[in-house]
Amino acid sequence: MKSVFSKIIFYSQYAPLLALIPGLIRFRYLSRTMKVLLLTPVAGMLTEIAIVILRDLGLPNLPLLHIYTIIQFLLIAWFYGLLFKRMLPRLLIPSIAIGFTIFSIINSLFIQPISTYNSIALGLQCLLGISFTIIGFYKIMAEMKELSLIKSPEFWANLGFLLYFSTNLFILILSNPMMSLGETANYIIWGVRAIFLYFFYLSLGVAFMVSK
Amino acid sequence: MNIYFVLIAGTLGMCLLAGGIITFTVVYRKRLMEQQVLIKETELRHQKELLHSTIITQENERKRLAADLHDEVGAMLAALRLALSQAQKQEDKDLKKAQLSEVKRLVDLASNSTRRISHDLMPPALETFGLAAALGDLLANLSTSGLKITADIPPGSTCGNSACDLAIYRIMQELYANTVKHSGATEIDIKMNNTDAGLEIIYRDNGHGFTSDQKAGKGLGLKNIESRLSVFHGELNVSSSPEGSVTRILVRPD
Repeated sequence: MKSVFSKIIFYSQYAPLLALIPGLIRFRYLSRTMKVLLLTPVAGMLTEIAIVILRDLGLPNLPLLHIYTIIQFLLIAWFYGLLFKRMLPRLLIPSIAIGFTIFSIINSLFIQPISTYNSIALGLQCLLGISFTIIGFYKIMAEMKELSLIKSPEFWANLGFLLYFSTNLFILILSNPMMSLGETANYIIWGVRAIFLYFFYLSLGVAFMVSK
Repeated sequence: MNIYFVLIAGTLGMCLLAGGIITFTVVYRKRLMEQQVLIKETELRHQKELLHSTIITQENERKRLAADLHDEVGAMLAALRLALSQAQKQEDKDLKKAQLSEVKRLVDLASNSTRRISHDLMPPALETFGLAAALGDLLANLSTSGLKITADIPPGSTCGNSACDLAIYRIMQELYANTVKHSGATEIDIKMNNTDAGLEIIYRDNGHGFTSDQKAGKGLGLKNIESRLSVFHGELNVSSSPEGSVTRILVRPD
């Protein structure tokens, strides 16, 4: 079981390609909102490359997670800001993004050192992400732009984000205490997380493929 | 063990929540789409019915016009031709003078018939003096039928443009025809009002009204009225009791 999950975790560094490749293939058909969404797997891929480099250099990569958390949330907020342009007050999501950034920096500097998981910021990121996706699904129901949900890029993007943030919430909040559970338990837990990571990038990939 | 429990329970719980949200979205949206399709189909069916009734009314009008022209003007022109032929052949001056008088009488009759038919098609007072004057003429003519008609139509009443005024004129004709044909009423009362919301017309009669089944079935007359009002974003509201019917019409300005 440990070897199965270790392979799942190992190959998860390529998971952003599940979204990146379809995104680049369909690039000229993507709306502005979807082009912004494409930056999420781009950031994911670049972070994975950086992790590999740091690992090869024998350097810790947890500080990178602190930075990536902020970048990832800013990209997600940008995407949802464009998506909810006509629905929500114009400055609401930018305010949330700025607030989260400030909080994450304070968390990394004063609350949770950069040599540990920034579980508080990650948990907050998940909660905010879940809130965005719930509003996103409400928008899909209210507008009914597409006859079929399967052909709606917004549906697939929301699906991916909702599954990702929902399943990661408790794993990320408990990421620091989990380190005391033992190697096998950690492989299983992070392996399960990696599976949902595949689903996340796959959903984004489908969102790019159905864009027109 | 506590961490395991929180982790597993929390993650499963969030998965269920996510699944619930997605399922709700899919199912609810499908229902909304089905409802929208149903509404659009009903609207389309209604529009088709209105169009159908408009076409039938137009054809009936044409038949009536053809009959009027044939029976009245055609017959008079035939009689006129005969009288002129006889007058042409007549050598006696007095008899010729009498026959020419008869010709003049027939010409006057034909002219009156033509004028009446023309006024039915397009009331001249409507374009020259406006809706209130045209309705005044119409109601004065209709009063001779024995029905007691009272009207409160302020001078200058209009719904904004001549096409709309003509539609209101036709609607009045239709309401009168409905009252005579179906209600058995002896009195009609018409009130017209230019309000902030638009031109309001309240038409009452003291007939025996109609049942909700009859209203649901909607005769040709009501459908014609609806059809005319739909062009000008007008509203129609009909209420009925054994004491009589009240028809409320509101035409909003453009």
